[in-house]
Amino acid sequence: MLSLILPTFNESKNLPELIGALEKVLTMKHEIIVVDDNSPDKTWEVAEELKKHHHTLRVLRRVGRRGLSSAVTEGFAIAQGDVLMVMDSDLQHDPHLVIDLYDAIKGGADIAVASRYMKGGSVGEWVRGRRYLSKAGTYIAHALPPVHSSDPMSGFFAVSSKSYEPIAKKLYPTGFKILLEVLAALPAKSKLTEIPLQFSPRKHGESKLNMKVQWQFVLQIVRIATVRLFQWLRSYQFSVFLIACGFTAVLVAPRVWAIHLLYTDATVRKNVQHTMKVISDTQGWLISDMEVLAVYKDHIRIDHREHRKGGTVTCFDLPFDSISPALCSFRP
Amino acid sequence: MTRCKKILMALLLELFAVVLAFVQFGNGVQTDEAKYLLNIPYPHPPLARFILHLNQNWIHQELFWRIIFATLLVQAVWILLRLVQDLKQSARVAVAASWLLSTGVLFQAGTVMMAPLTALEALFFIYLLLRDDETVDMWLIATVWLVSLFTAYQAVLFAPIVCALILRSRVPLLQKIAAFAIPLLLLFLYTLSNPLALASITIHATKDVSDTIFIRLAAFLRVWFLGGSVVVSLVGLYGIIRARAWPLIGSFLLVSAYVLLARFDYYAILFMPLSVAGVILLLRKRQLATFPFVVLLCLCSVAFALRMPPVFSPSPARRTMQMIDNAHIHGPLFISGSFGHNWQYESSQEIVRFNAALLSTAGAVICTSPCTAMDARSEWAHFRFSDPAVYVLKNPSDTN
Repeated sequence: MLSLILPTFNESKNLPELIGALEKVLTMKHEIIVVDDNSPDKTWEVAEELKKHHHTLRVLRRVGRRGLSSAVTEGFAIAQGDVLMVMDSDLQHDPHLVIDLYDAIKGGADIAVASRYMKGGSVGEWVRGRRYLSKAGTYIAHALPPVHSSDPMSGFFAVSSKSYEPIAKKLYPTGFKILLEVLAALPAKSKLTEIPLQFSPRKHGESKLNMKVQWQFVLQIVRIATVRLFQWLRSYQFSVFLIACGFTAVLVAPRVWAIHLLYTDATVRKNVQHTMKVISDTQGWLISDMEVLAVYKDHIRIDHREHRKGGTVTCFDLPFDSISPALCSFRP
Repeated sequence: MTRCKKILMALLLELFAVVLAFVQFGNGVQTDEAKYLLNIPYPHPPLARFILHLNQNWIHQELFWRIIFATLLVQAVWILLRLVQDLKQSARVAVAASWLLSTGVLFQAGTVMMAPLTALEALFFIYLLLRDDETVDMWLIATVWLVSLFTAYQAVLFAPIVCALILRSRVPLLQKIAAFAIPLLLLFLYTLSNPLALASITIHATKDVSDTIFIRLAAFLRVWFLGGSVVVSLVGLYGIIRARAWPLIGSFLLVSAYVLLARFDYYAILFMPLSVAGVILLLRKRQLATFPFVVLLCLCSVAFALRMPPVFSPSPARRTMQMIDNAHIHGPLFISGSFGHNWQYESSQEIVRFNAALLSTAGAVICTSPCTAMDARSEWAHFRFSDPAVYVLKNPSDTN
């Protein structure tokens, strides 16, 4: 059975026409769930009225909650069908594509998307500014989720309830773009089918795309990118651990070898202690400013840091038989 | 909690963190903080101090890192709240208060020390241990374990918790051993590469070796109570014992043994993650009366704060160096007596241990302990109103 979710906000003029068009197209067993965010133009009242003549219609009026994404997830939560679908209620989406999306899911796809950016699709008569904005957003959002769609911000898609159920709790339904959340939550091996969508111009009402929504989109992208980064780290965690340990070992082991005489030769150890104390007393250097780089049979090599903020670091050779440090020279 | 409320709370917490950072800022950099800000190669491994020193040429380095450290410590309350998100609001308030209002956090937030960082790492491990989700990303935990060990040696004190987490994973025993032991081996290797760190550990461990067990116990109790404002300390310990949380008990014993050896007040924060974990365990079993708990906690924290008020006057090192800079004194500064790395941090000129043979090269002499020998040198004048005493070379016209 198909469960078609129609999120609405101030779509009282578009809804009757849309429901009428859908009823002509939907030949399979279905339910249409109108999820209205307590529209000021009483869209929910119009939907209740339409229910009297369209028995497959259900109405959910949300009071005190707003947002397209959360409307869709609440609609999915009360849906009874095994194919969950959502489309816009402003007549910009062709109702005939409902059949194609339904068939795609029934044919084995986990998710089916009506895409404006594939061959045969179009964004219609958008002004240039909005077209560029949408393209930019799509470009950024395309690579992010593990399941790649050419139109990850489409509002017209279907998902099988079997695929949706395991991910329902992981979704973070804020703002506009629920499809992006769904694509990000689905496993990478999910089967995606796309069909071209020709976006129609809006007949009545006005667009909900404003600055707040765009800002929510940015936050959504950041959040999904962070989650993906953690997922990547989790999938490669052993490699990450190995690289971290290898890097540490490569940095540390040569230094241990360079000073190993300090631990293996008691005479050298005694000489090192004596030399460092003598240098400290004669030069006024602090022991903590002398970092031992290498220990040899007859001298040690140190880095001396000037005892001040931002002090320069100079390499010195300290012979055991002399109280004067010498600048480092190359020794084979 | 709605999104707006969360954002508001985060902003208020941030304001709180900034205030705590400024409280620490007043007194200047302490000697241990200077070691990390300047990447001095002891006593701790290099990871955190390397990052801290990257902006050492920036004039606001100290304040920047104080705010970062305070933010990390204060905003860590969100991790704890996730562990009690299904409990009543009173329980969530009790947990938040346990963390934010205990003197361990109040006195340490804003300090640039490794103990708060270690406490945060421990908090992360404890979160993984106590959360409902039992999936274990063992190699990620092992990587964080490696990072925490290379931040500070005291991360070893939370080994029981890490061990418990690693043992949960469903991999062969050999892999578990590798995940736990390899980071420890690398730390051991690093210690061998840095004799200064080894010497520092030895000095630290044998410091005050002559003190009696009673003195050590009294000092331990002071540090432990300081961590959780007594209330959280006691309730937390009761909580982890009652819940038979053996990894937490094991870490508590290790931290206690560590504090018995090295009794610095800043180690109080190491008890905090364990104490708050104990509080959470009690709350989950509905075995804690939250209102009296929070009230007692507030009273104890206020009492501690009144007894140990923050110091807002600049440290002797900062004061002296500012005076020297204002007087346009140039040349190496000789210090007679003991001095910490905070002098190094505050000074724009090289500091050298006092050496009478090299006195002619000195720009000034600072005496942190009385050096009457300098009074006898007529070419040197005692800088008025300086504490500690500062001597500068007189002008040739002054000697005439």
